[in-house]
Amino acid sequence: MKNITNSKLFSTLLFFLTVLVIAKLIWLVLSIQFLPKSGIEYSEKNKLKAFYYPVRLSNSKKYKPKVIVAPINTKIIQPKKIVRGMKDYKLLALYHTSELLVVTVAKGAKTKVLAQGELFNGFKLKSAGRDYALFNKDGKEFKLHLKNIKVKKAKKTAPKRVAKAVSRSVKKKGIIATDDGATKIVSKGLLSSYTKDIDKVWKDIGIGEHKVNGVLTGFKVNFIKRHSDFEKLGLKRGDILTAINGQELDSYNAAFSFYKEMDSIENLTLSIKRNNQEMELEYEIQ
Amino acid sequence: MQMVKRIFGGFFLLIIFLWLVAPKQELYFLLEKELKKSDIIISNEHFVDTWYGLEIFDADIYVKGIKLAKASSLKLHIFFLYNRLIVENIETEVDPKSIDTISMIFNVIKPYKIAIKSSGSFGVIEGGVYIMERKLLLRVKESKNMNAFKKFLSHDEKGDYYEKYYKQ
Repeated sequence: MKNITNSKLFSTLLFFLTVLVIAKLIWLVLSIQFLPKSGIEYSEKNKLKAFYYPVRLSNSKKYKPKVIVAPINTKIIQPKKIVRGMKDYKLLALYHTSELLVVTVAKGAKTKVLAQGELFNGFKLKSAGRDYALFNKDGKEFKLHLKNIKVKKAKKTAPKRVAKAVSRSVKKKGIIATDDGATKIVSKGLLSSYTKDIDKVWKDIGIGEHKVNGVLTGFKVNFIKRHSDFEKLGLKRGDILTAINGQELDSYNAAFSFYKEMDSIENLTLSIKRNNQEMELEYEIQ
Repeated sequence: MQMVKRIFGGFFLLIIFLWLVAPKQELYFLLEKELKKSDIIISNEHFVDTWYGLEIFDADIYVKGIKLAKASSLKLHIFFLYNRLIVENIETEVDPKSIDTISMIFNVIKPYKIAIKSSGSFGVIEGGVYIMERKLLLRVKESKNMNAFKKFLSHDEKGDYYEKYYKQ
């Protein structure tokens, strides 16, 4: 035993082990002090949801209204007393799930996308059912139905040939405005030409980040080529794009998600800030 | 003399052991943390620990929250004096649709630079991150299909290049 402990081999082995332990200890201290214990994983935010519109804003024959099924867990509040009102208002769109309630309301040519709790001319969006939305104002409740849009009347005044003519015109011109001027109809082909060739986008429009206190709150239009499609869409230099179809543009991913899904979108609401005023631009994709 | 031998021997042994027992995965996490500062996230990857480094498979690469690419293989070789990251078979969501390889090398002989070389359907680019100048400079060595990048490139007597300075 004495021979072994005194041998050169044992001494060398002990030396190696000591150095190994020192190396391990150095890394242990560095790991505890400076190295992270876990990696960084990407967590995806909610994807862009297509907005629900009960009718096409233009008079198209092909359109068949979709049916919204109220979520099972959603409590539909039956108001005790409904006061007739909001006669000049139209409920254009309703998107209602257990997590999210977003509507588009129009008064004349002015439209606004509202989330639950938001105000429009003093009317506060309270809740919604299958085909209606409830608003509060001055302690009174107001019910706005989707059927307020006069579909039948529109059909009478817009015969088939008018719808066909509209469709032809959209295909030819790319973008046309509806009669009331509140909405623009954009051809799918025109959108596809931009999604297939990103260079075409940057030739016509320049967009940069818009940050408030270092936080991305939207994308600013830095320039728009004259007579370009983006100008026809109603965008102007200096506009800040804040949301698309109710989805806030607070990340590049939100903007990119929209770009990727643009081909499948049928209706589009662009929320913008122009001269510090919030506005909504409505488009129908045909 | 015996003592001097022991000290030098011990020092070199310590370097070798430090390399062998390095917590490569944690060092990779540190790299991820640094990349996060530039809004780059490598996600959903699988690791294989090797004695000289780390191999990572099927990594999704996000830049500013956008999934830009999926890399089938990332090889991180840590030799302290010479460190290398090789990314292979990258499929991207935007042009160019495929990148064959990207290699990044940090060599102690050139401590001022992280050398970058990449090849793919766009051609070949070479350059690096100049640490002191906080500059990324990439030069086009062989151009095949550069249309998607044209607007980002500048031109001088050596050809097309991309240059970007980073803030402190």
